[in-house]
Amino acid sequence: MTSTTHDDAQSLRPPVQPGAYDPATAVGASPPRSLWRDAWGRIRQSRRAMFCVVVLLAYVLVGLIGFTGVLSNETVVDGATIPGLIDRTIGKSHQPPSWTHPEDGGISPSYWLGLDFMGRSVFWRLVYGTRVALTVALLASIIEIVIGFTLGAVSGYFGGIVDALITWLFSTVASVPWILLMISFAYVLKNKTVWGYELTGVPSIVLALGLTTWVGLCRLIRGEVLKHRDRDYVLAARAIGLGHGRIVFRHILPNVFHLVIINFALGLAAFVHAEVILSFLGLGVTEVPSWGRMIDDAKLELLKGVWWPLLAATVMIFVFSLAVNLFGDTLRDALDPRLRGTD
Amino acid sequence: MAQPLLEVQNLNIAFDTERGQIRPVRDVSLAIYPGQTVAVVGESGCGKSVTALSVLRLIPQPPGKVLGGEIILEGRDLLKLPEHEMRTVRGKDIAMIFQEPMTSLNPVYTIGDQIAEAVVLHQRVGRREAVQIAEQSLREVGIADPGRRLNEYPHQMSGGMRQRVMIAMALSCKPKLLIADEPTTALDVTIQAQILELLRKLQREQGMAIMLITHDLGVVAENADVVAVMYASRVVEFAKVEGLFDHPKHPYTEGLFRAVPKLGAHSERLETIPGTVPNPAKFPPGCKFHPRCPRTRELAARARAEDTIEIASAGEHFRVLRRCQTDEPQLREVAPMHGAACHQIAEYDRAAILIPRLADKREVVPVAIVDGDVEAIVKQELAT
Repeated sequence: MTSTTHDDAQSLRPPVQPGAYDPATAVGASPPRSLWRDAWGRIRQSRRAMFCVVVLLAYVLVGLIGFTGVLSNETVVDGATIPGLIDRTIGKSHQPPSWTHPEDGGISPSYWLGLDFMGRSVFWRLVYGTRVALTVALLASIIEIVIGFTLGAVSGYFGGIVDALITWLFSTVASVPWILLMISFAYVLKNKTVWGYELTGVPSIVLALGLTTWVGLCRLIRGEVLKHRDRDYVLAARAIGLGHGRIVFRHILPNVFHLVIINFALGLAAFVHAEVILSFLGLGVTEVPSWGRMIDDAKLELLKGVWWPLLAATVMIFVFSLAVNLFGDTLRDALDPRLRGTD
Repeated sequence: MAQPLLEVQNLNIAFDTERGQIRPVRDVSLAIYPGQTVAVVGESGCGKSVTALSVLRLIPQPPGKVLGGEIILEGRDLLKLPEHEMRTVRGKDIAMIFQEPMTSLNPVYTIGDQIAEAVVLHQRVGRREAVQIAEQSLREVGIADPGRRLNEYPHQMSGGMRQRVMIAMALSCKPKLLIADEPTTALDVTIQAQILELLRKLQREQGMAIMLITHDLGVVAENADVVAVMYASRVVEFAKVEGLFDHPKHPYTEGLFRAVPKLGAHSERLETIPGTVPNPAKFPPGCKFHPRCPRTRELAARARAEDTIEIASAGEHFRVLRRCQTDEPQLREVAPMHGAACHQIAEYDRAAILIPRLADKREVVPVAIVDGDVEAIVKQELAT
């Protein structure tokens, strides 16, 4: 009797369909993903973040145009040097934006955003300013990360007198108001040469920013490394005979690197702002156009009703900051899920 | 007699703290022979883990420091080696597995990466070969489908599997000595048995020595050849496992055995050793066990008043023998190949100081319990 019911149950069971869930093959079926693949998967799920990625890629493309010869200060045409698009006077000063060339009537990007007080194209200056802003932000971030991470990791890992010295150093740097520190750095570095290389314009502002902003990252990394130093996996790594350098850079670094990435993403906007402020104050980029210089040049023109140079530069900065911050938020949530929903 | 693989002699470790110096390891000596398992047993805080870590020189310095002693591995004093030579000893000659398999693996690397790293470091092999060795060692520790597991992260594994991975990592370089610091404490009982059986199997196959740190007397009974019982920074008893279990000499060891609940026995409460483990910052004078020692109390009750002294411990006032309170006993050979540090053992005064070198292997080797047999064995145990 029991055996027949058993057989009935067997025959009632539906046949396993191809592709259906089968515990025999489902164990561990989803392939392991690394942190970065996992994070990218989460970012892709957010439409907002993907939109920001597109916007930022557009900025990068525009910035790359700034590296082409036509825009640079001097262009060689037929053996003769002529000023590039960014510095050439191409019409009357304060010509308002128009789609077309004022004389031949053809569509010309040079006139889309109008001309400034010297009759130069606001559009091309804005494009070149993108190159400057991105270059400054990227290079300054690299300096910041190298100094901040190295000092923070060394300080947190070794502790003792090394930690005391580094803590003293960053506390000192942090105790000076940052804008003052940055201005003095920019002032000192201006027109100096290092190894025969002149520190004007972009290099000086990169150094000024990089050398003053590492404190926050350093403090963050120090605390995090301090936490990881006493974890069992570090002891286990020492027990298999690894040296300190490998432990810090191969084992602890990947465990704290998401913080560096988050810090980098959120810091980009701050660097762009800082470059604008320094250039506005006349301490930053002087030889080539930058968003800060454009605002500086345009501030008095506004009273004469010339709004386009100021608006163009401001919108450019606004959209960039917004995209970076929104993307940075999603990135932080993706890389450090414990922080989700916090500020 | 063969030479010991590792010999620890009169090791003294101190930590400088804000409340003064504490010394968690005093005059610890022990020897481990190739292929032997030496268990170090004791309560939390008795210095057994510090002893193990100092063999690999993994004590953080500062605050820790070695006050004296020697740790000799095959003729070399590890305490005198420069750091870069010590790094070749770690992992290659001596490997270590830890108590917490959940946190001993780096969460951001696959386990294949982590095992291969140790292999590349100590053996002259390329990356691809290292991965093969890693896969082989995962197979040896009984992980199913090692080729796929290599590419998984630690969080995808259970505690028992992670401990197997730790063992695979430790054994991938074929060390001569494995230090296992409470390898089964964080695991549940069935997994404990599997892990210990695995260690025994690998020991048989590879002939390595094991220093087994534990507070579980059951683990000792099944695995150890020789046992060192530690109490409050010192080795108080050192003997072959059979000798220790049949005739414990030190009152602390006796207390430990009494505290083990017996299968089938009924009692209202479990036996305990009165009092608490002394704070390493202020150990009692004389024998460190005397405030908790039932033997000295009993003997004091019958002794002449001038030989005894009144002390207070755990809110209680009682008399102990004066000698226990003033004179620190040494580890002496109170029975053949059996050392204990207690004044109140009849042979103590005549015995010589024990050189803790016992090359013995145990005679009774435990058999692995195969599935299904457990019930029968328990029934048989209960019947007798």
